[in-house]
Amino acid sequence: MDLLLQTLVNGILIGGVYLIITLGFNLAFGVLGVIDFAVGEWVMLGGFTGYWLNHYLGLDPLLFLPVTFVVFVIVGALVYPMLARLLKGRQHARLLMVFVFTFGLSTLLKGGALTAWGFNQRAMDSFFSARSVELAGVYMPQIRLVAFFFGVLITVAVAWMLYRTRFGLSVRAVAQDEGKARLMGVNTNRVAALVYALYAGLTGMAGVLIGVIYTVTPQMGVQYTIFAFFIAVLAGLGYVPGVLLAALLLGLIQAFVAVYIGSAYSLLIVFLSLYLILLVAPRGILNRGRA
Amino acid sequence: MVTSRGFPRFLALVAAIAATMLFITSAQAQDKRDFYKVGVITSLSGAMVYGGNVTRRGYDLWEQQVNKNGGIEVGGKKYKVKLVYADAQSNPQSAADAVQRMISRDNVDFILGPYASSSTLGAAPITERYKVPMITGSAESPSIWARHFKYTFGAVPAVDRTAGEIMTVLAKQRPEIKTVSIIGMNDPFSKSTAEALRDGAKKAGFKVLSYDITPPDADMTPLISKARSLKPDVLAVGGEPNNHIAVVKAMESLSYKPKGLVMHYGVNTPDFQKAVGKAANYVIGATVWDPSLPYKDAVFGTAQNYVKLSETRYNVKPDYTQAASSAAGEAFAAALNTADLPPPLSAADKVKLVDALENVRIKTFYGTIGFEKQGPWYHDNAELKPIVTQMIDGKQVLVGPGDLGTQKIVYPQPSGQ
Amino acid sequence: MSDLQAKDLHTGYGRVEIVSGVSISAALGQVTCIFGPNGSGKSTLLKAVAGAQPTWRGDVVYRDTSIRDQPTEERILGGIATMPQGGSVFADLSVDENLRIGGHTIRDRTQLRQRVAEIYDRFPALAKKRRARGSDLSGGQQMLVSVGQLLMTDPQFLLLDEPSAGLAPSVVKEVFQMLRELKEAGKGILMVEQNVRDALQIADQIYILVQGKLVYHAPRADIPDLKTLMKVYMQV
Repeated sequence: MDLLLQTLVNGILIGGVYLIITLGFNLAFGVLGVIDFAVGEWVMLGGFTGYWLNHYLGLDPLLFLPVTFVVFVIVGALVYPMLARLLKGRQHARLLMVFVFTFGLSTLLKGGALTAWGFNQRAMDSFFSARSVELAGVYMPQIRLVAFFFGVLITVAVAWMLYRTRFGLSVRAVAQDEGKARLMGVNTNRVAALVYALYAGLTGMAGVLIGVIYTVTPQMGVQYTIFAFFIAVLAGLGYVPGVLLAALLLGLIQAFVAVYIGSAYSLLIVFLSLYLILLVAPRGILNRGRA
Repeated sequence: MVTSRGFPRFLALVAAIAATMLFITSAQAQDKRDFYKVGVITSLSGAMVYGGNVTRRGYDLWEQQVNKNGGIEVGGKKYKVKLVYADAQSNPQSAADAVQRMISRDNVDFILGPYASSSTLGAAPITERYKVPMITGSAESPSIWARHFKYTFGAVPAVDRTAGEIMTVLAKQRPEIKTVSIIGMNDPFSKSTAEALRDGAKKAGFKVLSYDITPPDADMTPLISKARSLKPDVLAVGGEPNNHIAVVKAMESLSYKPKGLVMHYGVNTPDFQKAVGKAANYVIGATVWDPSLPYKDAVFGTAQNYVKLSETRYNVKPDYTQAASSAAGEAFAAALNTADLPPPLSAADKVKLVDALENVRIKTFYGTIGFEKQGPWYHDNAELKPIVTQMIDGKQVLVGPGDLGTQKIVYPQPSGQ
Repeated sequence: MSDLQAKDLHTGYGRVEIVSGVSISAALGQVTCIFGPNGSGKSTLLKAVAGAQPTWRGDVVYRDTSIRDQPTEERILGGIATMPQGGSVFADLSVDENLRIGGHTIRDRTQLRQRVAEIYDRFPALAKKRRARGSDLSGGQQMLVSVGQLLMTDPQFLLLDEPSAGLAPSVVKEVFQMLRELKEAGKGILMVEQNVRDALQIADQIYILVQGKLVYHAPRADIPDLKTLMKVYMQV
């Protein structure tokens, strides 16, 4: 019984980690209509930003979340024009070009990080690391609780932005039909640029949290690219509220499979369930994303 | 289309290509070098780049020392060695491709093999096909030796002959230990380690409460929670240093510390020490080599001297994998010397080199090297005995078996549950 | 008199020119229709006037000023609103949100709310459906929402791309009735249509476009009856 509850908690908290990576990614996909294969590398660079700031300033890495956000918003704003050039260019196969661009960017960033910082694993500790909250025999790692609530908080903030603000309405309009939105007087290029910057900022912050929970290495990105893609598909591509559910579902599947079936099968079962869910609901679990 | 007019031209082209190929092959055959061209295949990128660099340091140090002494002595003359590198990219298929390229393009005389058993298993069938001898300084999975590759040798004893020893020593020194839980990462080496830990535990009379194999990238909290709920006396983990970091971080975040924690391999690596800090204390492991052991040879001097050489060049304390990688080169040198094979090696020479390797038995700073000629550990180094270690205050202390131990295992570890 | 003009306009997609040197003009209080077979470039021309499509060569002139380099947003603020083919309803937005995005260029929140309320007053059928999603509306209701979106900014000129396409005949009638009322209220309407028969009923001026070139123009006084026009249409 204790183990069951503990596994439930573990799963939800793993889901919290996924939530913070995927939120911005799914939003960016919704608006730009392209997969950014560099998502894992933004996580990695976010992790290193937190690590180096922590290393040189000695303050708790979580205190650097706002700085990291700002830095990556700027980075995103600088990268976006290159993406936009490809997206709006006159070439054929523009989506393929974007794919190649983000894939190349990912390789470049990973290679650059490897050259600059080497292959070593680096760990950084927060005040909340190596502490847990015990409740009726169930242990909740404090740092993961922090990450989880942070994830929920930014999900609520992003949802509020999308459903309660003028900018959010234009974001949703652009995501659904860029052409129509433009005829309504929406500056679609500006919306896309801001969304990409926001996505980069959120993903950079995710990197700091992931770096504190696990470790930071130049090669950590790949698996998060896969998970982000996976959850975005499960959530319904471009449908932000689905992300919360999909992230939790993935976390729970992983935790329960590891404990009750065998961890070796977890990826297999995760992909099998994705396949089955998409068979039933091709637009994601809530059937609201892009087909 | 070959037209009647174009046909002579076509013939001329064919002739030109044939001539070029002939020239290239004859040039290769006449490759008159006075040094050994040694292929190094190891992971210089990808997930195993850490270990890849450990082996590379070992191979590079051997090259440095051998050339400093004038080279390998064969027939009264000394021949220098030159290493050429190929990247195994941390996966078996790339390892196979890289070896293939290295053999056909660089025409290497012999090969110093990859880091990790998975890459070795990828590379071995290729060296087998082209009949080029290879010694790996790191692969420890028994699954390699069970396949009886004629051209592949290993400098480190298979993990099923070493990791189990931890359990034997634990049982002997701490009879109060009754139960263990085991977690292993899903790669050939780590899985073999976990199996060895499990079999060793059973042999030592422990009850194995759980045995889980997990993908190395997975979040570790679910399995740690599971182990904790079973309340084992000892938690044992088979994995690479980065996996152990993930496990320790997960344990710490859940405020869990078992009474005894076994981790094989790599708890004495700087990465692990730095990443987990104090949590590295009291972790129990195994090794086949330690700088404090009284081994020595002509190339590196004493084991202590080897440490100094490594620290001078890399500012890194060597572990047994790095030492084994350096010693692998010495095994080749000894075989070349006894078989009297100056460079470059012909195809027939390479077969002779394998025969010579089978009969090598040399004492090095790393201990004795001598390869099995038959049985389940075919071509693996049979001469080294496992030593059980425990990290105490940032130092790797030998705790057994028998006289090899300088002190008893600390158990239960302070505040272990 | 001619308040909105395209002058020798060239545009296209990728490297392919779709519209080659077309000049048209439209005036307030009039319905200007552009006819032409599929692929003749009439929608593309309309987009260029709306600012959703760059003008490669030539000019777009509004109230004697070139607006060729103005983004859509500024053209809307200047009084030119556009309804694309198939209407402008966003399937996943509610009726309320659809109207608000129609008034995207209105920055003042109170004013925006007021405009939405005015549209509901004008189309009471929509007021009952505020929360309904675009995709849950009937074709007629969607057209109402589209017109509502169009009117949110109270524009002077309405650019319409085939407003009758895909609608039931009874709804088409309503739409054209609505357009007639707008014309009588002094709005200028520039529209592309396939439904020549109904469009002729309200047209003050017609153009025919074929393969990106203007082949026929009839001002108000010279508009022939349907039969004659169809003959012309068939010949070109």
